[in-house]
Amino acid sequence: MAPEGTYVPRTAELIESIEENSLERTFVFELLDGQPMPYNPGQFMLVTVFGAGEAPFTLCSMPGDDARITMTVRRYPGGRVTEALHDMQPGGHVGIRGPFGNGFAMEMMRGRDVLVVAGGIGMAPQRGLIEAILNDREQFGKLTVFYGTASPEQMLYNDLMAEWLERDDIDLRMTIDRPHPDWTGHVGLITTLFADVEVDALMTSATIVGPPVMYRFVIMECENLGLNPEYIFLSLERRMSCGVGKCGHCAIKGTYVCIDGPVFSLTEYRRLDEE
Amino acid sequence: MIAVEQQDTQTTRAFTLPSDRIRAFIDALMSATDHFIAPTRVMHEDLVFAEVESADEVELEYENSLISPACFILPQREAVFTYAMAEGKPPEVRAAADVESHIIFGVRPCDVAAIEYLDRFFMGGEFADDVYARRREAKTIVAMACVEPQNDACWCTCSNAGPVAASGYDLQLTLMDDVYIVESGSERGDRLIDVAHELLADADPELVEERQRRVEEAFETFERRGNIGQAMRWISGDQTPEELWEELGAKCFSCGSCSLVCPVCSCFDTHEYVEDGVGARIRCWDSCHFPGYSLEASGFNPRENEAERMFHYAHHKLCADTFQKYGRPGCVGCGRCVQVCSAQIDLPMIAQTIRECGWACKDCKSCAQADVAAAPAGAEGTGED
Repeated sequence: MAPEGTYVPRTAELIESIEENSLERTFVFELLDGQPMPYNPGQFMLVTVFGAGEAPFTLCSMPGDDARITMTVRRYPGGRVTEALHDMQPGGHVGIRGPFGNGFAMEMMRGRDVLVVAGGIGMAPQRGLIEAILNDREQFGKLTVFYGTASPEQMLYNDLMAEWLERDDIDLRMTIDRPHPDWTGHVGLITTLFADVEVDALMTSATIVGPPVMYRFVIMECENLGLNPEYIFLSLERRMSCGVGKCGHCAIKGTYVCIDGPVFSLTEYRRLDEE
Repeated sequence: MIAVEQQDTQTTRAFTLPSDRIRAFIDALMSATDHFIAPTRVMHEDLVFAEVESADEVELEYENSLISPACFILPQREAVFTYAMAEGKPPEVRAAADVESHIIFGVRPCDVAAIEYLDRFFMGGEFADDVYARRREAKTIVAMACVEPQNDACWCTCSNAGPVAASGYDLQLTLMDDVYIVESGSERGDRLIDVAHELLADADPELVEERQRRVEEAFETFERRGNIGQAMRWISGDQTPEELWEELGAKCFSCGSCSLVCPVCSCFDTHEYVEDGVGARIRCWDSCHFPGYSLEASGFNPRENEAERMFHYAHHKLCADTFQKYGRPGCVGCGRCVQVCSAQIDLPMIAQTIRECGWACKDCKSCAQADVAAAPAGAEGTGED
């Protein structure tokens, strides 16, 4: 019988390690116990690389009915877990705990238009959300996705993006920060995409995930559009050692990002008063 | 949210033990457990809680230990699971090892209150920590009440934790001249009373009342004050000026000593330790004062400067949210931070400073009269502020 405990992970095998770009890879894991893992878009897992450590990563796809889960991870030099994951060959083993956190509040989006704002690797946690909306398309209104990265090489999921660009039930708008010879699309920070968008402010929910520096400016743009702070959602990232509200690292004024978040409405985020 | 029984007078059975039979009493307790932890003198006469083999090693006149005996429940370092690595095969993961029974003898009421807080934090709420629970379940707490402060850092009277424990113990001893009052606070305590019944006699209720009189007299001798209630009001209402935290942050060395000696602080970090093909996930104490506490691999750090970290530390200790969730402030008044902080930014000082930042009570006493007039029968004035 598999050992149980708050901190004991389930073992999974690395099935596929897909190179997205020079920084990021997408990992497909299969849980060895064969049990599917249900979760909501925006929830996260704690991934153990045996011998290296454990770190939180958000799931980046819709849950399937098999025991597979997918995560896109950026390699950070000196980050023990991300480096070990990037160096791992298919067939290697990891430990998985989760899912943790609240995920996106789908009931706050159903029946409404949705504006998804993704900066850089912020597309990874929101990919599952977009897929969930597309799978249940008639339950939602207009779906607009803003996706910005520093350069074209840093774009994730190129095939999926091409597919979304073809569809007429999703309005994907991409931008890169600075001009690049391989790029013919929009150039400018992600906030520049807001100049050319029309939204029904009362009927639109927004989700924002990206680097911490992006938040303040994107929030300003969303508020300029007249969106209700109760319907603007942000996912925070924090250092975590437990995922269950015990280690203390992710606490902000009595709120634990790991159990009360990682997704917060703008109203809650302002009360936390921390980037 | 955890339901907290606020200071219910627990059904206690009180006995007396002649003070010259205390070592025989300890012998009896030792026979009822695998491990006996007690205050004992080590190198340079330092007082520590450690395992002892005989009653003679137990120190009975002792100041507060620098490290709280709560460290036997949340140790500085422990494995939360282990795994055997094998080439080409999935590692074999094993849960944390079982724990043998321990009696922790001589726990001061401040530390009893801290352990009660940790129990609510680790075993309550949405997720229970089974590693903590297993260790805790194996511990029996024998408290040693104080009737007067152990040193000039003590301020449990301001944090509602002492000098006599109201709950949270299995047994509690109070020295009254030549007898100990021995009270049982749980079924486990009752069993220990049975083990040592030959040494005990039923206590005269007047003796317990006499203790209360002595404790009330002793309140005056607790000279360190910090008015946690007022500080809680200001910090919970987000009414503390940023300059206050900048000033305190500028003085702080970020050494983390205050949180490492604090019996309520429970933040931990995890590390991987592998030797001879056997790995372990080790959790060890951490401090929110360390610059690396919230530093992420990406380089992002939401609390880069000490002013922000100082606010976070004080807020967690003093905010109403902590009080609401765990039934007490995040400070038990043990005074250890007073003893270790070389910048003299201890919790009583922080509480007092916060209080001075807000409007202060003019102490006109008219509210007290109004409260008495309006209070329902049986309600008591808080005596705070």
